[in-house]
Amino acid sequence: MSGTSAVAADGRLAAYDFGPDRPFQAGRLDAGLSLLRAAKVLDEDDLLAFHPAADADLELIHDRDYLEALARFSAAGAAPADPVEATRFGLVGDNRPFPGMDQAARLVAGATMAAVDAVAAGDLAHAFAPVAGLHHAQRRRAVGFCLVNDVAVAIARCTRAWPLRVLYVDLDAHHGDGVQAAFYDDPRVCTVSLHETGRYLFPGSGEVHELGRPPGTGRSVNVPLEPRTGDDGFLAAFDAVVEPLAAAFRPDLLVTQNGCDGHADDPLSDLTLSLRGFRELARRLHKLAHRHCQGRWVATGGGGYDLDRVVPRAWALLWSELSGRRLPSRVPSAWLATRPAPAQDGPSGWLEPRQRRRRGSAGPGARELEERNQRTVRAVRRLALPPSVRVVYPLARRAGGAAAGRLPGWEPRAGEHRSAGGPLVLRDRTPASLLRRLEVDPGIHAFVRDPDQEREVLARIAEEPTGEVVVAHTPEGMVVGYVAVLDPEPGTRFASLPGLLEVGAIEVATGWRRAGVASALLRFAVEPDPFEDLILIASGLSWHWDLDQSGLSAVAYRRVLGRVFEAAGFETLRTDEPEIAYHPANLFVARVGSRVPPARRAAFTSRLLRGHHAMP
Amino acid sequence: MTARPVTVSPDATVAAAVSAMRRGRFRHLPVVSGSELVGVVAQRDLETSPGAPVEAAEALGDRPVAEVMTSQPVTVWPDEPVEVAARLLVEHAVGCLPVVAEEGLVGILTESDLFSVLLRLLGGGEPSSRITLVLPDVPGALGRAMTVVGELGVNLLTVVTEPGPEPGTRGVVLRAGTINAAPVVAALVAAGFPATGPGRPGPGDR
Repeated sequence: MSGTSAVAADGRLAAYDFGPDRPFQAGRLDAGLSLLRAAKVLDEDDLLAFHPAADADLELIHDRDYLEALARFSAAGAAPADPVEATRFGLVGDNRPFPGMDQAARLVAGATMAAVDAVAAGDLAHAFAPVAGLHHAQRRRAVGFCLVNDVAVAIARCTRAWPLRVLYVDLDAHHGDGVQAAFYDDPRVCTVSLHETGRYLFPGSGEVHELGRPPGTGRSVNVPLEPRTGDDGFLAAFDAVVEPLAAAFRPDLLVTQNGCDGHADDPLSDLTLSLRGFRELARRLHKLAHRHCQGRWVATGGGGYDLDRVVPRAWALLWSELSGRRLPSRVPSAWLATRPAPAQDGPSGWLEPRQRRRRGSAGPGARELEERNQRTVRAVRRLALPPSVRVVYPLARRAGGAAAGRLPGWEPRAGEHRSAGGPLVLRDRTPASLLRRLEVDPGIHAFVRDPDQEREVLARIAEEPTGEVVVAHTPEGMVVGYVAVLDPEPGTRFASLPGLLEVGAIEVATGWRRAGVASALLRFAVEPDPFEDLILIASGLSWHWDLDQSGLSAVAYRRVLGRVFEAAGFETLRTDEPEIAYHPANLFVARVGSRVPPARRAAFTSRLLRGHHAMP
Repeated sequence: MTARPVTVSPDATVAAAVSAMRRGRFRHLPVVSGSELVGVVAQRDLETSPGAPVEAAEALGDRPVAEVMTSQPVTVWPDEPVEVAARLLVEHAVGCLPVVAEEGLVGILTESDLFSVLLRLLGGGEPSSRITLVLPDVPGALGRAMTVVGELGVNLLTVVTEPGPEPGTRGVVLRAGTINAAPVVAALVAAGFPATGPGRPGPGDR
């Protein structure tokens, strides 16, 4: 091996082959690797050695009797398998047994394990396992060409060996159900899957409300997108969810499943993505790995069933991004000449020719499609991202919809708070320039590790036309707490009410907690007279809370948070707003200003409970 | 149904019933006197309206369950088909049915139980592709369509049919245990059965 990136694959993986009449066949390995070699971006030195996974590895994810069945049905020349037993283990249809499948599956898992181990141990910065990412396999069932769940096995092994937090990003057109299920209650493994909605497409799961189970609630994230979403819609969803999620989760290792079956030419999905989209996604993942995971990134090939035009090019683009090797300007003609006819129909460059699109020429239903996807993305963000993170990573505004801030003006104020930790200065309407001159206490870290980055985050909120930042800082200029007030996110239940604002975030540095700073900040924040004309709301979703640091249960944390808000004139309210109602420890509070007219107050109250009709 | 459900006696207080529901995380309680079923209470029977004063809630909490329960509730036998139970829930607009055998109350069936049945019937819990069809409502049509699927070696996990959108048609929803469903949809279309599914999204399903 040379350099900091490697490919975990070799000729042995061609054995993972359901036969020439199946979409998942041996040809994918050769089709892909031969192009990498022809393009001179892959040497023998770049190949990572790996061994077949052992029972002990596979049993981290799979049941022994399933593995035994796999071995039994795999034996060459075995009598026809018992069809009932084969069906029970999913070894029919898509996953029809083939001789040697047990060993082939162990090799796939071994390749992914080697890639993850090498990156986790720091031997490599990045690794690519092209014939891998068998994300559907279940504990005791083969599903959708996936005999073993190599990704889940590798992540389980690695999180057992090292205290790492793993972010798994699944871009395959199909929901990453098997990996999600394997870590559904694990707070150290955050799985996020962007896929075509399961309304028709296999496997049918991956709805927005599949959020995980305690203690891993909120660590399973799903973005189901409409058929014909296309590159722009897919990338917009990625930007709105994955980057902020990484910022919130603070992973140590990024594992991705880069299935390219979302391509327009792929027979298995209708997402209509292009190679250009895959290249953009690879670039974003690369940046994300360096920004949030100290560069540690393992990519797996996943699905992709157009072996002539799409899969080799998609692998080449991904490997080029990951390894930093530049592709030649055109696909080598010598390689094209060796491929079957359809490959020659593909673009002669690496990407499809750019299509000229005129404004308004989108197909019928394009607007409805976009609206559906936006609704999905907004719901995912509300559920999966803590409010402070949403504030810092706002949704791109729609053209022409520049929201006017609802917050009226007043003179900036400064106050004083004598806390147990020492005197603090409280300030509101904090301008971005001042925030950039202050330091941020390292104990403020709800979602970014780096205090300098945190300061930039606060400055960006202050620069929002609708944002208001109230800070508490030491006389020496160290910020130890802040409150952010802003317009509610569009499309949510209370957003359309006039004169209503949201306390989007409240945070106090770990070393300054339990010193009354939060209460003092919040009381100070709502003192200005204009708040008497406004309704302020705040919601707390329990899985966003820093329970580890506080040592409190969700219910106890809710009580503490409720008291902080009540001290500032907020009232805890019951609502059936679905995100609040999702968990009993979730909190919803509101402060109705003293001059809010009764009609507006009533309009607000009537939205609290929609499933119930108030009795006369 | 839930067998051997938690019950309350008619002279238990509303507050006690509320706390039993909270503990068990359910919304219906059979009211039993000795071994005899005398009524049911639902969560909504035990709550004051959202805007009511606190005193009203306290007063309600002290009252006996017998005063707020539905007496002589609609019940089912344990061996009744699920569609009979569903029809009773719909016709009587109730949220639960106590299940009563010769020896008395043996269980309770709620809306949630029926949703679990619905999920199983529609195959939503297993990895599969969803395909919908509209067939002429004549003998043999469904059989011919399913033969097309069977000949591709694809396992059908669930098949549900219902009256179709037009008179003389039947709607069919099936779940095929394959990731590669476009050929199934194509084969159905080629055989003259208009199908919607992967590879061929229908109107409104972009």
